[in-house]
Amino acid sequence: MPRYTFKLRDDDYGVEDSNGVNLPDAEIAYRYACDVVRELMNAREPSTRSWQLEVYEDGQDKVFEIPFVALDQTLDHLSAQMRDMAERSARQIRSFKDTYQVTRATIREAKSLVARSRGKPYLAADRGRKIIRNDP
Amino acid sequence: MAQPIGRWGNQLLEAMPQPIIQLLQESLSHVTLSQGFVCIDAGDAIEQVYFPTSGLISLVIPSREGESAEAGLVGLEGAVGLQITFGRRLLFARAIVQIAGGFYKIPAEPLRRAVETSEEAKALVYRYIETRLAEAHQLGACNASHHSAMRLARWLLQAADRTGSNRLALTQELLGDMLGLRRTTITLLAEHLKDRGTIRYSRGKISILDRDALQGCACDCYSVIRELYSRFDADLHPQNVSRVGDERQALDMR
Repeated sequence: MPRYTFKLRDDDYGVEDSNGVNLPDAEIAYRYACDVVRELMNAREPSTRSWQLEVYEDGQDKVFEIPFVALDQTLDHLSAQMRDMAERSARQIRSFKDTYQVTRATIREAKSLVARSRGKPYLAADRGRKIIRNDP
Repeated sequence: MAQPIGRWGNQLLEAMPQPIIQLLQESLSHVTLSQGFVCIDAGDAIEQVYFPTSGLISLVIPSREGESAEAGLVGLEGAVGLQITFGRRLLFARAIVQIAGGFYKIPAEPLRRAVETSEEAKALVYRYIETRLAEAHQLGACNASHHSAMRLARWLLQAADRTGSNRLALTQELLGDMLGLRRTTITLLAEHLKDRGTIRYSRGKISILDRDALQGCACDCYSVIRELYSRFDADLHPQNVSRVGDERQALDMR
């Protein structure tokens, strides 16, 4: 049985379930992932609207990317057009947040690299994640 | 939640009038029960009443579809099966040990007979059950309307209070069962809590690092329920005005 792992893109650096679950196939993995999205979103839909859950199979291929907004039942009362706008807007916000997080990570990495090269103290890690990525 | 002091390690036993404790003493035994032990199954007769000292019992409502939902947590603040003192014979929920530890247990009949002889003991049991009922109402509302991150934080705080320990021996799977969430959801939520410095976890164990911060992540239900038990406790010991938990609440300007 393939092992499915999950990455949550949220408002910060994101979190993951790297242990994952063994599930019979991708279709069941998709339904499982949708359940997870609903459980995370339930009762706080507005604040998770730009989140996304990524599903990986056997640690390699990303098989699904589920935007929370797509499963948001609190938007069901909207007309198709309004719903579409809400989804596009959430996607834009997601894209902005992704860019912002990458930029922020890059700037922090640059600061640490510069400080290190000058022999000054530098921030090596934040919450278990290395600031200087891909360090040999 | 006020920490029980005294020989019993369980607040209800501590609060029992002395003459009743004398009657109960020879029927009370202290046991260690492991996780998954079913104390009383749903719909079964209450044959033993359990008073946790360091373990934690979950009251679970099984559903026909096989999934179960947790209806309450019982630790050192209370007991499971006390309704036997009213003559009520069956337990509605399944009482299952969630966190292994120590428990006092006593057969139902000796307990019922002893409590019957004392108005004070009966009043204690009534007030306790009243408190549990209020808690059940709050939990019902919580499970219906609060999001999973808050419910998880609330559960962890309650479990820590009720086992008297910030280190909880339980798996994410079990936590998922109790909160009606997929294991992956628990993992992702736990990672968020870890990122905020509130907990640390490893296989089979969750440690609370910063209670105040964790309370910030929980819904108000946690403090509302804690207040219920504080009041219950204060009623029992009106002479003890100040205790750790109460001090914190006295400082709280809200």
